[in-house]
Amino acid sequence: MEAKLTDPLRTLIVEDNQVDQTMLAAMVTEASRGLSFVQTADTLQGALNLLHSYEFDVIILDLNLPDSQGYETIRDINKAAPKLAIVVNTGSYEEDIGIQTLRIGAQDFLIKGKYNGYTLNKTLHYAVERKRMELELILLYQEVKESQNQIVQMEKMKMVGTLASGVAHEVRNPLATVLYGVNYLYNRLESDDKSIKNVMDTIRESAEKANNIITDLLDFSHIDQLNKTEVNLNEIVEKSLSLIHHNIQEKNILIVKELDKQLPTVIADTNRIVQVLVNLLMNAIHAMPNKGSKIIIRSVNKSSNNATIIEIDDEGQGIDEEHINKIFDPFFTTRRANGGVGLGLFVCQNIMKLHDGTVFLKNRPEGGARATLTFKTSQ
Amino acid sequence: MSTKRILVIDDEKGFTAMLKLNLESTGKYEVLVENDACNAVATALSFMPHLILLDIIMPNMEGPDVAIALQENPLLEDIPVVFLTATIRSSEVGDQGGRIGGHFFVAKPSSLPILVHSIEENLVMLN
Ligand SMILES: Nc1ncnc2c1ncn2[C@@H]1O[C@H](COP(=O)(O)OP(=O)(O)OP(=O)(O)O)[C@@H](O)[C@H]1O
Ligand SMILES: [Mg+2]
Repeated sequence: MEAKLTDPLRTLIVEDNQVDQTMLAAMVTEASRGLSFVQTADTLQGALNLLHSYEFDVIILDLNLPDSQGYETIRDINKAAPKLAIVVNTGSYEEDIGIQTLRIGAQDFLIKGKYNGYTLNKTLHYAVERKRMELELILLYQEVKESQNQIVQMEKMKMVGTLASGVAHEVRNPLATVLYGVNYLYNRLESDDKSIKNVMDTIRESAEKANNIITDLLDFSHIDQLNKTEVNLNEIVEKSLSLIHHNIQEKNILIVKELDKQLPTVIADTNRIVQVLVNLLMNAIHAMPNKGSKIIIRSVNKSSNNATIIEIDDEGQGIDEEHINKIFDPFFTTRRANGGVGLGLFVCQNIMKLHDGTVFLKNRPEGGARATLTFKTSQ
Repeated sequence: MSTKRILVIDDEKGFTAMLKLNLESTGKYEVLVENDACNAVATALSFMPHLILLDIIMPNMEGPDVAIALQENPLLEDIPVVFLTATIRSSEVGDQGGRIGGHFFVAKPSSLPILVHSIEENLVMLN
């Protein structure tokens, strides 16, 4: 719809001088032939209360109020209502201040005594349009920034890929030598000396473990080649659960599914998201040594944020406070002795970044941890 | 059953020495090692192997180029080549080794039974 100067604007007038306040209200009402929704306040607090109760298009703001002075007034209003156009009402001796306010979030300014009904109305409409364009620009900027981040991420992954192939070649050759060497000795062993066999088994296991790390690294380094389609995350949840069915049964874990049946689709690489969910679920399972514990897996449509969310709640020991900033680091693990490599969450995070999504982990007040995946809902 | 001749072309001296020991200890194979890829064709012509194990990443000449050079020689073109690769991902061949684009691959390292299995599979196809 095209904007017109006669369109009524929902206007909030914040002015502690009663004469000015009444005059402004009268002018705004007249310019819209009485159609504008106009509210007035004498203080910042009064203004904030009104902003809380009603929606406005524009605010006419006196900077020097009994409870707030100067630029802070603009900042507070902007914080409370980020989409609201702000027109500052300044004293005639403050023309320079008017210009300054444009830099910190106001769209235009009035100089007391230097406007009439017509220019006031024009100023208000101008401010609303300008705010609308500013918001659009910010949105565009964010989009550009996001795709730029994704490109940077892709480049990084390419580098990791090259590096991983190099490391794999250099490390696997000596590993293969060790493994084949041990294998040969093992077969040639004439005595039944248990201790020699033990030593050889240990050497072999260590070499195999090192080899598995290389395999993980190589698998990880190729995660940038995504095969994205429109998918239903509930189906991916089911698929992931079926893959670790065995681990769940073994520990007698109760899986509670709270899946939103009206979940919108997202654009994602099914196999990669399965990888993420399996990693998170395995972490939850590892964190719960007691048999018969419960995992809740939940899907939520946060339509207000255009987001789709998956949560995994466990009843494990939770994350140590001192580790909370490290768990996403590559090779950070508290399960080194039990075969943990420490790449699980790192991989999850990178996959989610490539999907323009996020993964968080935090402790739940009731105990245990919650992993949260956030996806952008496809439009 | 007579032993089969296997030529291993790989620049890693330690690895090839161990590989030779292991393969020969099965009693099924006679193994010759060539550590310099540039000599691959000459060595193959003098040894006339039943099968060639070929490393992919080597300093002087890459494995695939060696394979092409072998193919171009009418005396060698029918000898099966199995690539050894250290940079393979588990998702590409599984743990077993397998085919990529018409060539056989075995992961390096893979256990001896898997390696022997791949060799035997390729020798059978020859007959
Ligand atoms: N659900 C959870 N509850 C408690 N601690 C967790 C949970 N998930 C992850 N952690 C902590 O974060 C660490 C890192 O997890 P990450 O998945 O990256 O590696 P890992 O599970 O140790 O090894 P792997 O590479 O095999 O996944 C874990 O070692 C553990 O200390
Ligand atoms: Mg893990």
